Amino acid sequence: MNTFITTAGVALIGLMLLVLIRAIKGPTVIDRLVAINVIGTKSIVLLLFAGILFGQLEMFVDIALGYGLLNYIVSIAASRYYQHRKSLEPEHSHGGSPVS
Amino acid sequence: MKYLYSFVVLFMPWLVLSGKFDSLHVGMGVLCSSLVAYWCANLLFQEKAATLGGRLRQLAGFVGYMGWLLGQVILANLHVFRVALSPRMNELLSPQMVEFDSTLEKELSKFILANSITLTPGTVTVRVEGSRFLVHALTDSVACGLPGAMEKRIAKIFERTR
Amino acid sequence: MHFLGYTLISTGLVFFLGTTIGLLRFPDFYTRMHAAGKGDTLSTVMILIGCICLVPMSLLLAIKILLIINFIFIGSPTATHAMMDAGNKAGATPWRKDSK
Repeated sequence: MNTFITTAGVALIGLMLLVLIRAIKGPTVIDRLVAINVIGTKSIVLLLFAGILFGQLEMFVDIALGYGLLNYIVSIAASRYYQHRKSLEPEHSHGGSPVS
Repeated sequence: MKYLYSFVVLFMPWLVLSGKFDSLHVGMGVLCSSLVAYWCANLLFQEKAATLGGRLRQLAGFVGYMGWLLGQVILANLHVFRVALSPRMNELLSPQMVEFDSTLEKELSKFILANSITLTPGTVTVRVEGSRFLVHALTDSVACGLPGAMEKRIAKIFERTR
Repeated sequence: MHFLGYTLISTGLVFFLGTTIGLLRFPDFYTRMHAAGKGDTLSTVMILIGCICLVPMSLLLAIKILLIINFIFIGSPTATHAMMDAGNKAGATPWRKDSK
């Protein structure tokens, strides 16, 4: 079972790195925000896997619960902030300070 | 009566999250839950006229609705999978904005309808203003089917209170 | 029970692969949101239920993981909704078929 969990965790980290490509490359701020949100949700799963592998699931479940709530609040707050921006694309904000 | 409902709703997560059943922790839980229930009961239960049987029937209907929604989420994922993996993706996609008026009146049922639209195949809710829904659809065929059978299901479960 | 756990975790990983490919390939921010909002919710829920089936644990711990699933199921569409609204208000232009 531990071998399977380790393999699944490594596969999950590989896929999260692929999502990170979108977070680095993403043309607008919201693209980065989406990618970070997906990575944060998957970190909950990764924390549970770590708990199973270390044999301390009671502790890691609590951490995962807090992390999930924090991730949700971060996405809501960041998107509320960007609702009041006028433009998202960097090429539209010529002259002024870059948005992203 | 709504104070009792709020107390039960608040106290059960306390028991689960604390995980200790000695008198000190349970006592603190009873104290905190009753204080919060006394102050904030109007936030959780806004309907005056609902009876206990009506609420239980809503809960049972909601559980059945969640089962149906889970099937829809799996269908939605297969849809996204098929579109994302097809080599001719640009021909499959024709994204568009759809606007429609909903007949639902309660805040709770509007919230559930918006979240359900996000989870069903090919549609994501963009904005809800009053009873006006702005929905982004991925293809033509799903844009025609809005709001679909979902609204009737939600209306059947949540709009009647007794 | 173990077989069910293995199947659920593998299926969740496959769905997350679909989400990742969608996030990387889709042309604009609105369509990427479709992939993120749906695939992220379902794959996380599936992997967590697989963990419950696979690992022997106490009832309290299983209820805690179910609580995490509940938060994700309510929170993830709401966060998607908020980000979509932010992008729309900030004026992200939707992708058209004849734009390229």
